[in-house]
Amino acid sequence: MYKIGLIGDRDTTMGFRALGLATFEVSGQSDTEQAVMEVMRDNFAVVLITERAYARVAQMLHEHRDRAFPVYSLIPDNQGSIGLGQKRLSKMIERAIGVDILFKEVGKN
Amino acid sequence: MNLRINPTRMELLRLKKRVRVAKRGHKLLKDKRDELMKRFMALIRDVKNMRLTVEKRLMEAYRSFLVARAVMSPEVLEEAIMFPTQQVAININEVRMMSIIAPVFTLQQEGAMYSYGLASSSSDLDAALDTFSAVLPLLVELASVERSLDLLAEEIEKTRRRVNALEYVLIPNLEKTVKSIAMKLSEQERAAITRLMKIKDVVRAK
Repeated sequence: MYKIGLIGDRDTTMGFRALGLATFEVSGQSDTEQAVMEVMRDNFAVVLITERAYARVAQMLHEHRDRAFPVYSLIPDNQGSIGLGQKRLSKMIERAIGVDILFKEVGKN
Repeated sequence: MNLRINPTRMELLRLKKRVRVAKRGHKLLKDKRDELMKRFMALIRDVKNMRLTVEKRLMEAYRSFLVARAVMSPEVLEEAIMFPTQQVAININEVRMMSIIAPVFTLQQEGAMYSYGLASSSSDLDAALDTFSAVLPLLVELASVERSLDLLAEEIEKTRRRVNALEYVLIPNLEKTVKSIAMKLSEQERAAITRLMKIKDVVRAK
């Protein structure tokens, strides 16, 4: 059995905490890093992380990207998406195909 | 660039074999790349739409939670959700696809979702938690397919490098070397024949 966690600001974590997720309430640089360290130590399978929090620790997560778990999934916080989740998808496409074929089409339509 | 190898018949045979193996490997890897690509393309569109839907539904959940927060006092709300009675856990199954191992998550929810008494909380909170609860399985599924997609992308990149290395470096080098060895050998043969003819002439002239 593995855990599911959430790293995000107060407003985002509150709703999910009631569902039984292990939530980490973060607001700044150091506590976000702290939260990431903690989920890496424990047996988390999925960690939902708000885009704003992810932006703060992107470098750190990049260094640990060889690890199979946890899988970080980007979610928008309650102020709306800043597009990082989509950007990550289009980066995958670029890596696989060479050019981003999907998100460019969106602009055309 | 030629490989530095003695121009002998042994080496020629050995090299020809290597060319055959390399070509076969190249074909196999190319097929693998195409298949990976096919799967990637099939997945990517779904994932993109899925992400858009999930993000939208998550925003709805935030909104409904905001309504609940507005009608309840912060202390009461805090108290209501302080100790969740529901527990969520994740099971991981592995799915092998081509040469990658993709995780598939299944969410398990246990216990009552409403961790508070009905008297002090508003029904808006119930509604908000309902929406959050509905989004959660989607989020977990999204995490799993995005992970598979990431792994696929990595594998495609790796395979493409290998295909290119074989196609543009190893195979041309081997073929060039085979050709140059064959040329040298036939040159030697011609030299031997002319030498023999010359010797014959000299012997006959006596």
